[in-house]
Amino acid sequence: MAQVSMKFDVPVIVDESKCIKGCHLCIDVCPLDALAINPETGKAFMARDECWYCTPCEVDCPADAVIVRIPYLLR
Amino acid sequence: MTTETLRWGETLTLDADVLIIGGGSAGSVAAIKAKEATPGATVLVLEKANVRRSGAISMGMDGLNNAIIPGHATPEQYVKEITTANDGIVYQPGVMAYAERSFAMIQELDSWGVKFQKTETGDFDVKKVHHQGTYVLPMPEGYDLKKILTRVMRRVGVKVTNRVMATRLLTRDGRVIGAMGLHTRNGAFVIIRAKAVILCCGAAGRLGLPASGYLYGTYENPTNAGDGYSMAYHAGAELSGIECFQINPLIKDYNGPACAYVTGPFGGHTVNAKGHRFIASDYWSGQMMMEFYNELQTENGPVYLKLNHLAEEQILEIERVLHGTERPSRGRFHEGRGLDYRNGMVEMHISEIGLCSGHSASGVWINERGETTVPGLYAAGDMASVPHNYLLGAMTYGKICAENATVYINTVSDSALDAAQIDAERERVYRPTKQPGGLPHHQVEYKIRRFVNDYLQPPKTTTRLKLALRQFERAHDDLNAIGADNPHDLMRAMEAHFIRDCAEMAARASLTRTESRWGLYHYRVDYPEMDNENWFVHLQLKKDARGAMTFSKRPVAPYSVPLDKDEMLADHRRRLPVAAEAR
Amino acid sequence: MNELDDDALSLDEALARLGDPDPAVRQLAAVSLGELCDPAALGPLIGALSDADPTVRRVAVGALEELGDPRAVGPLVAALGDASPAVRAAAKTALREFRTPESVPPLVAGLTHPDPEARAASVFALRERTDARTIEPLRAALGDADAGVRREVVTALGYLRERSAIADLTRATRDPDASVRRLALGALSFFGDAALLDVFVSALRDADWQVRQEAAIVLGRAADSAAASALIAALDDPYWQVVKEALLALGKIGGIGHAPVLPLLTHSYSEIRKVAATTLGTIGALDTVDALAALSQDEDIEVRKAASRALDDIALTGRTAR
Repeated sequence: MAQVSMKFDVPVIVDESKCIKGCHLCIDVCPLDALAINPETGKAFMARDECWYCTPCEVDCPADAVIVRIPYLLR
Repeated sequence: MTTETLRWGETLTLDADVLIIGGGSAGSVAAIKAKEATPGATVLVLEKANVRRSGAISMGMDGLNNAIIPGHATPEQYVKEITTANDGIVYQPGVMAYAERSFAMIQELDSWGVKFQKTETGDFDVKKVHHQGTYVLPMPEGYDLKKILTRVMRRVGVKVTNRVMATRLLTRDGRVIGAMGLHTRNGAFVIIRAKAVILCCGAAGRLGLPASGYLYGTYENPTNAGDGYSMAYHAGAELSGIECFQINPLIKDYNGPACAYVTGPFGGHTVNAKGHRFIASDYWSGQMMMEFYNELQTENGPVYLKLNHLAEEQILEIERVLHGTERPSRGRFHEGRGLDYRNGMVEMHISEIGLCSGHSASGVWINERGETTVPGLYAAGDMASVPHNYLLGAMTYGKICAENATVYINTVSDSALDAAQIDAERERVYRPTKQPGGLPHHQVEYKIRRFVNDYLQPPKTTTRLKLALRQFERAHDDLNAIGADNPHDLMRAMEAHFIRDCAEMAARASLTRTESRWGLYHYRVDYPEMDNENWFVHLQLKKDARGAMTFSKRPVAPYSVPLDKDEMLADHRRRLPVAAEAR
Repeated sequence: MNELDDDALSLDEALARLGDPDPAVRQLAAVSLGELCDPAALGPLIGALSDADPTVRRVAVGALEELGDPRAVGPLVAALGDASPAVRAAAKTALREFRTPESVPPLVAGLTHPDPEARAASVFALRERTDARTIEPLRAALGDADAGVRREVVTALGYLRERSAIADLTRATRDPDASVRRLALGALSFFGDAALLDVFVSALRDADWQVRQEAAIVLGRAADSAAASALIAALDDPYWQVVKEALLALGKIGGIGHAPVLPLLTHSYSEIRKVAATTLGTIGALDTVDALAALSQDEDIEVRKAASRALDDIALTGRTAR
């Protein structure tokens, strides 16, 4: 098989300065399992372009560190 | 991708008396009621995401569309309205069971802390939006619905296992005895033994491809990939009305509901491009969607949600509700497009197709006790065949299923698991890991769903439905060629299988019913008329002993709530004088 | 319900870290306590309501809400006056979730909180409790200087359905704040008291359109024909929202002639034309048939439907002109 990697603009942005290291509430609540912890920074990020722009990650974050934008293809 | 230790290929075995697959609205209520009925039993919710925010109502719901509250509506009225809206093909006892218990469910939810809109003296503030009955109960603070349900589950002692996706049911001697699945974070194979299983997996919401092309920009929560439809099918349960698609009115591109039930009480209108209301049908139904579709084909299209005639105070209130509950991001969508309800109209469109009895009528066949045709298996919510049952129907049937399942479990003992089933499923689930460089799941999924759009989107034709089947057959090879090197992608691969199954069911069922019914939902160009002589039946779909998809007709049960001829021909058959401006 | 168990804090670890000098460590400790939901954390979480860091305080509020122990109510009422808006909002939400009778006295104490937002939030939380102990404090709070508090108090008294509060609620229909006036009308309508009719009728001439609208709704509920002429006058209201409710109310009252309604069939606003048509169907006067038939050419289908149905109704009843 011939395969390549490509880049995608993803809807969810995490402000690392506010994100609580060790917390993973946003990752817990995401219905799409689209968020993950970046092992280098220990902070959350959107790992996949699989977003329903539903906003629990933003609403349930205790530190207001998450912002959900409308996915690029829909904006 | 996570800090979770990988347990690839390891087996996790769980035991439960009552297993509920899916922890959304139906599943959460089923679990609570099952545990309350049998406190000593193990009641386990298996949830593919996390119950705190899972399911179609991840961010709550802004209102109930079908509340039957004494003083405002009666169960008989409601059953009549649904019977008419669904062109007569309803199992009335099933609808009546919901109708009679609807109010008690609301009261119980209220006691748990679910927030309903109330009058200044604490009565439920029911609004009339439909023509006949009064059924709409707004929930402007409905955003914490899942938080409340999760809290009650914890307090009564329901066990919850998050991040495990069930992929197949386990059967023995013609009954369901548990399920198998995948841990979506650590990759373990999971076997759950149970005396009874309640399926609450939601709609087939990732079937059609949205116009945007974004796989997850769907009307339904895209996590609801038709899991329950597929699992029930493979367990030999009957499904019904799969040809009656879900096609919803929505905000174009954003793909969320336009929420006419919220804006309606304030005076919002659904209009054509000239700003005039044009929908003859009185009930949200396939007939209404047909009118919507027809309007889009004329110079009067597109269709809009019009709010700019409302007072500032009303618009502020609408924004507060719609931008806080159910699909809160719609506010930022409008902002991004430079649209303000005060001076613009919201462009609407019709959705990609799905399978959902919440808004339409297709699902796993259940009776008024929530029983499917397979002993030990129950179903509730968007995936169970009670037409137009929405959120409150999902929860009420969760309760009904729990009541019956907890009685059933006393009549059966633990069954030995079938090693052949387990081995076969383990092989199927892990196949992509044997070929990590195989086809990416999202490309395979995109292709299947693109063919769904090409060939299944109404208006349906025989030729295109048959072309669809060829593509869905070919898709088996592609599914077998998917590669995955992590549990998340493995989950997506298995979802692609569910999607393909639902696509094939949708095509075959559509081909089998050789008439048109339910407006746009099953409009066949080559059989454009309704044929009550041959097709006043439920069309049932089932996997036979040889593994083939077969169909049968189930007669419509005699009506407990009779309709007279006028009522059967109501709304859309009404001969309306046509306005001067029309086509 | 936390699936990433590899690095989760234990109860003891979380409790210990709640006192760490680093706010980030305390934030995670608080989050962990919220997840664990262990009753042993009650005291420490109440203590965390005074943490220097607003995120810690906010998380502590949520955790106390989840625990549900009524001993947290008093401290949460104090948190209604927190410096951080997010903490205040969280406390306001949390207080509604304490539904046992023990929660009532500390909420009533909140009625004398120095901060008006806190007083309003205390009343808001009391609303669903409908506890008789709240009647006298609420009646006293109707005199609060802050309109936001008075709005909540009117609704809380409304939920109580307490006859002894009728005079207070009637006074509230003359409050300087329009929302208070509107809510008071709605609360009073429950009692079905004919003596209140004058109050409702005079509210039809209120300066605020939402009060006038509520007055029309309430008069429709009362269905008292003594209000008919005032409602007919309201058909000239500049707000279509008020006209619509006045029409609906007249339909419920019945016994009115078609003359005041007929001109509305050509109102510029489609919803009025629709409701006017429906009302004429109920009135059933043959004199209105021509005007209704003309609506078959209306640009709005809801108007055409309503007119068509009204004609059916008139044909069925066959009443003569009044």
